[in-house]
Amino acid sequence: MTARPPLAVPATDEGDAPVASAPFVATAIRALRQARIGLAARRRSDVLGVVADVIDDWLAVDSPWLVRAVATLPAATGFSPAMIRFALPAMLEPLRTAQLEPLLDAESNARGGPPLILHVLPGNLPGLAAIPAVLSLVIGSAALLKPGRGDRAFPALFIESLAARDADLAAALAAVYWPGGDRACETLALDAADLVIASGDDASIADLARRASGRFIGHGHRVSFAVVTAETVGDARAVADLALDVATWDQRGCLSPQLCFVEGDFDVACDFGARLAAELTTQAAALPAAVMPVGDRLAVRRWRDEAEWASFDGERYRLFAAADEADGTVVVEPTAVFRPTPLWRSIRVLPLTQWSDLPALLAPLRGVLEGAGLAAPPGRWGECAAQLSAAGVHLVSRLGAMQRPPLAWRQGGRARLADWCIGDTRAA
Amino acid sequence: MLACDHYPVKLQSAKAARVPHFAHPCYRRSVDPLYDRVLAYIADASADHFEPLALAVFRHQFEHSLPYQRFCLSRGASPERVADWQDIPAVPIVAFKRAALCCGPARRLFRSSGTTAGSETRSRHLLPEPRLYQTSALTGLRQGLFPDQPRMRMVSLIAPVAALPESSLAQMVAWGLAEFGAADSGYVADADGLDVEALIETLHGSEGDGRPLAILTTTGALIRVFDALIARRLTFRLPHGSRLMDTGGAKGAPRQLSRNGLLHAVWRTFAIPGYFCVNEYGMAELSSQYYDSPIADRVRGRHAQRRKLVPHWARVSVLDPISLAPQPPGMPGVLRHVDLANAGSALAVLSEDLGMVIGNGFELLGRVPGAEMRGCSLTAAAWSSDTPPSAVLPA
Repeated sequence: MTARPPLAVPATDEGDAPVASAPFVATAIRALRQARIGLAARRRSDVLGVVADVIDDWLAVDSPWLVRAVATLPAATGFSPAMIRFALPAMLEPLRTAQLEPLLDAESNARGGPPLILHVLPGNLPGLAAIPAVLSLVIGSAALLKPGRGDRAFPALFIESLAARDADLAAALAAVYWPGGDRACETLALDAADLVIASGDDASIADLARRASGRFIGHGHRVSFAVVTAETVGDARAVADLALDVATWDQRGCLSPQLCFVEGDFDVACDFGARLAAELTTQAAALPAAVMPVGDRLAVRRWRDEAEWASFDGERYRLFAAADEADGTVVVEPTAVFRPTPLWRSIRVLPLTQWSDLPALLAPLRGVLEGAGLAAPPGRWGECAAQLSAAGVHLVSRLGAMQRPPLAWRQGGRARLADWCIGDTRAA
Repeated sequence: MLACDHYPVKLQSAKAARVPHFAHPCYRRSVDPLYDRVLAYIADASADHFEPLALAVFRHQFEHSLPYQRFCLSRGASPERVADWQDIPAVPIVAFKRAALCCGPARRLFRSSGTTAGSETRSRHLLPEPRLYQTSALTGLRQGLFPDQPRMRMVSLIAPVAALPESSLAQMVAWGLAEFGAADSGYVADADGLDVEALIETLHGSEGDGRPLAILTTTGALIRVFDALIARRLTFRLPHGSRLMDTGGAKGAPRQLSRNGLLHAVWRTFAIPGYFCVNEYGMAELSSQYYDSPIADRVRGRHAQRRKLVPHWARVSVLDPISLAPQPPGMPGVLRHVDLANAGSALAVLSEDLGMVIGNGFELLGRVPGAEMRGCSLTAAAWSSDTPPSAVLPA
């Protein structure tokens, strides 16, 4: 027999954090319940003070925690050191007191959280664990963080940074990874949690919701887009800002724009698309893309081929592509059809002949839309943003700020914290 | 005579299965002299001037297929610059979904089965000269499935052309039944599906009269037949020389079955040994097929590892999926086909299948990997019929 060597697929998202067994999960849950007794007795202002210090530790110039993240996360996640250094602080910045306290005032007030929250985090976006971890603590809940396959290193590091300031508080958090579909571990966690907050695809969400013993909040996959008005389409700033929004985290977030409507005709869209592709190439040098698996590379190549062959066949498609599939692809399409892309800095640019067409275009997509990046002159910004919001967009941002959502962002249209709280069950 | 009274499927005779297309006068004359050269090459097993003919076909396609010419020019390729058949630009599968690749008025259209995920458009293979496909298909069947039998009783679990007019597989089977089938050959499937009772009657008939039977089937239909016969506690001992051709992978199958598992099940169910079982690998986008080697090897009196045989009018290269550079021998990679029988559409095709060179053939390893789900952003791969429909602005 001929030996069959495996097809070489670069490892991209295998962290070195241990995989938990069911007894390990059970032990972690017991420890969290114990730690929660102490947490419930603490004043919220006390917890907020510790959190403020920890976040400052991360955001400080030459932060040793950020240095460690930059040293370890690339191997664990595939993201480049430059991307971790640039984008990770933006995931932590909303947790500074200036945003955290107003959110608590608005959504929690004196109410506390349930004893134990299970957070099933989305995969492959480092840093996503920080906000659920901190919000759980400040409402007095212990939290079991189940990271995605590609984000196993950061949660443990974040808890370690908390422990360096306050070990008792950090004991109310545990990051425990088990492979998706491990029924024994999942069942233990789902049975123990008073509240389950999960991100994932529709099938995973439905499965977890059915099996959760406590309350359940699910966040499905969403799609975001950008809109550039006629007045701003020529601005270099709009192009650069959009390129940054596309490049950050290689478009893996639900606020990453996958389409851009350009107010104007096909030629205007082509001109914008060409400049956007050039800017994506610039971004690829400053923020190199993650290590790209073969399947993803082929998916982007297939998408490029599709656009290219449409143009070979005489259709009005234009492809602007970097040599490397990971460095950016812009496809300008003749008709405004709302379809996602294969990600990896891939964006469709669609001509929007007149602004009034947009609501009808977005109407069937209510329920899967999340964010919109908007480039518009000051005189139109408010009106345009209001229309996008009315169309079902949950967060309208200035272009370039799409990847820095405020803590008050109502993901999926839900209040961030209000649904977590259960009443005045703890000392305020 | 195999008669079948089971509604709704009637066993159709091989004569009835003949498709009238080639009775039409337009098929009797050559569309282009180049096609006659290709037909002669396919018919001549000793032909060895592959490269000049491949380069002539490349020039023909460059000059007569505008989308292909645009593609070549975008890659800096032209007849003046390409001197090696391996440098002929290969079109990706998606080209058949988005462009009309045809060097003249199309006389026949085949579509892929459209079983790939999502709402992808199905491939369209346009044929200006269907005789190329017919000759290639029949020569391939003779070499891979019937090298020892001029005619034999055949039963098809693949529906006839009348039910699947755009299926290249259905057309190939129709030609195969007409060319190699004994008078009592026919179908046990139609547009409504498989008629298991009719198949059982055919199998009993072959067992009873001792004349071997060739079973032509998709892999999915075969697995359904296994399940149906197990439920009826039926097995058969078909006469020596009986054989089975399956194709299409497990698309539409109720369960997965490994190749070894399938060979064991064929032996248990029909008493057809593994060396009389061939898997056919074909694509709607190609005019040639690749058959497993055991029957051809056995007839030639040699024993060698099971592999897909490459007909003399085609070439298969194994390429690195990313760089598209040739892989070293023994390394898996994506399959690139150069098929002279595709002279009227696209000679060189880059598939989305993985394989590995084995001897003078290759082993099929499956599909190229797809994109992984990651992050919380909805991707094109996840955009399914359950997702709110795409919105299209009126023109």
